[in-house]
Amino acid sequence: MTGEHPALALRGLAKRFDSKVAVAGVDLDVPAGSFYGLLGPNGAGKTTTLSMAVGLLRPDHGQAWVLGHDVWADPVRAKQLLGVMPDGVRLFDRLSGAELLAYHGLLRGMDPAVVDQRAAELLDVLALTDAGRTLVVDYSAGMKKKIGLACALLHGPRLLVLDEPFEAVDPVSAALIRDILHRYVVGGGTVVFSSHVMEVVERLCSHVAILAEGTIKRIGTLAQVRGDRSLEEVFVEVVGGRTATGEELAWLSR
Amino acid sequence: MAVAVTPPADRVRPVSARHFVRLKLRVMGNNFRGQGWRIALFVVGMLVGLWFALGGLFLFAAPGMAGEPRYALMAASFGGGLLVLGWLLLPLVFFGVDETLDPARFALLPLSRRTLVTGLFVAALVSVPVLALLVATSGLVVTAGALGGWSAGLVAAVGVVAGLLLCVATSRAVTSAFATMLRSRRVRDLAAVLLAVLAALLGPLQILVLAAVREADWDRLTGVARVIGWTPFGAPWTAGIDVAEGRVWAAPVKLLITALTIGVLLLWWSRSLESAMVGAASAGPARARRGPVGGAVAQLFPRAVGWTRRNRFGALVARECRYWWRDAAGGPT
Repeated sequence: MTGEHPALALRGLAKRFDSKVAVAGVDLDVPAGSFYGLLGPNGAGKTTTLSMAVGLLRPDHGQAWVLGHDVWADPVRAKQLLGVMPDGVRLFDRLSGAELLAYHGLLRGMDPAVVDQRAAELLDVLALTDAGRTLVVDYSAGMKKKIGLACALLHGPRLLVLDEPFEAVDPVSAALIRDILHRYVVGGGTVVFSSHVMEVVERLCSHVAILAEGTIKRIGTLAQVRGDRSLEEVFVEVVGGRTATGEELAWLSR
Repeated sequence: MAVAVTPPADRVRPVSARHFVRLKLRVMGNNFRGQGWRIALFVVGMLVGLWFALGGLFLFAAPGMAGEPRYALMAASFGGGLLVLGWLLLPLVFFGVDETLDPARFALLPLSRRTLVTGLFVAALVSVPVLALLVATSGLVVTAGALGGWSAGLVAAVGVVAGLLLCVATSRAVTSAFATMLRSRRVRDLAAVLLAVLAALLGPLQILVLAAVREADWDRLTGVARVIGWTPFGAPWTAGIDVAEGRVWAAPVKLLITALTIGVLLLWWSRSLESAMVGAASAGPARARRGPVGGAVAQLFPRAVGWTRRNRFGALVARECRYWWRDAAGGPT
């Protein structure tokens, strides 16, 4: 059933803020069952692109489909199949972790018994049980990422879209998240995530797209994009940034 | 652990308004946790609400108790009209977006517009101001009952509930329509200033109103009250009085006017809800301004404080000025 449609399809997505073009026409096909890394330097339009793809930001042009369901024309169906961990935390943060999961489940129309069981497992696995009745607003940045991931996973989505899932997360939690995502993909799910950490992308992803200045510069399987070089070399070449200093900063060395 | 992919979720349970109400109560309750001053603030708010509620109750019930049908119409029409006007304007000036159930936080959930509007509407009914409004306007039921018997009282009760729904629908629709605007700091600052001006005007206004009342032409005022009674501002509140005064036919028409207005407001709300939901996603990267001139130190010191020395003291002054100016100008919020 998933074979017919890509897990996520974007066509000509574009968005401009005032005079600045944030995203200038992005086409993307994320095959079902893939682990897709969206790479790009800061300000490349990753967050804007993902926000438009999941229904958080209305695009100026273009369309987005989740497993064949138009995100902007049929948002309810698309959002049922979709789990999202957005960049800024847009949660009911005046709730404890367990309460937050419970409400997410109930507002998604899930069976309370299922919600109970899954919430307990998620909190346990993500080591959030200790937080107890601490409100999400008082969580550390890494804990907020984890509870965000738990919310995104709770309803067993078919597609998971994560914006910078490894940012501000300690190494142990990062390994944990990697393991969860890996199992999720093996179990038939699809993951799209944005990052600028090359090692993580190289280790996890089956497919990669490099986004810079609002357009896709390279796209394909990891092997295709990387060739025989390291991903970092390719990335730097594509993005065209400066990686070494010249005569300046001489005063740093006495 | 079960991160298994669920089969297409066709057995999704309907989400009822109950969930929204409980969510709101839980968020409100958690807000108080361990924050003594918040509880104190809430109690003070309750007492103020109760005070206004009882004052309103007395004002609305007085014409009935005194058996003065002429004042009954005016109290219902002017008083009720002011209440609706207050619910229209106050959220813009004062409350901003109701943070407990900010629609932006529902953006990722698969909720149909109808479910969302119903849920948020019912949740909005659960609040102290609504309770105070209910207490105050129940005075109209007393008045209508005293003047026209139980049937008039019953119609007034229906009118009061309809008026309540109208007030809440008005405030929600307006807040949602201007949600993106209300979130910005600049608008909140402006609102604070407006509120201060309003508070300062309260005294003069009181004197003005008292003077007007003393010299008022009561017949003309009654005429105005009658007209207001046929607008959405006065319709729900005056329906009971109409029955008491023998214009039984007017009551259903007025209730219909109210119902239609509520319908239109809810429709408007559901239209603007989407922009309120997705508008907050990101205001986008800050606007790139024209490249500043001069070195870093020259950029820090605004021209107005250019006379200060380029040392610690000068830096503090300059920074303070920059912050102050950027806050006021609303810069990147």
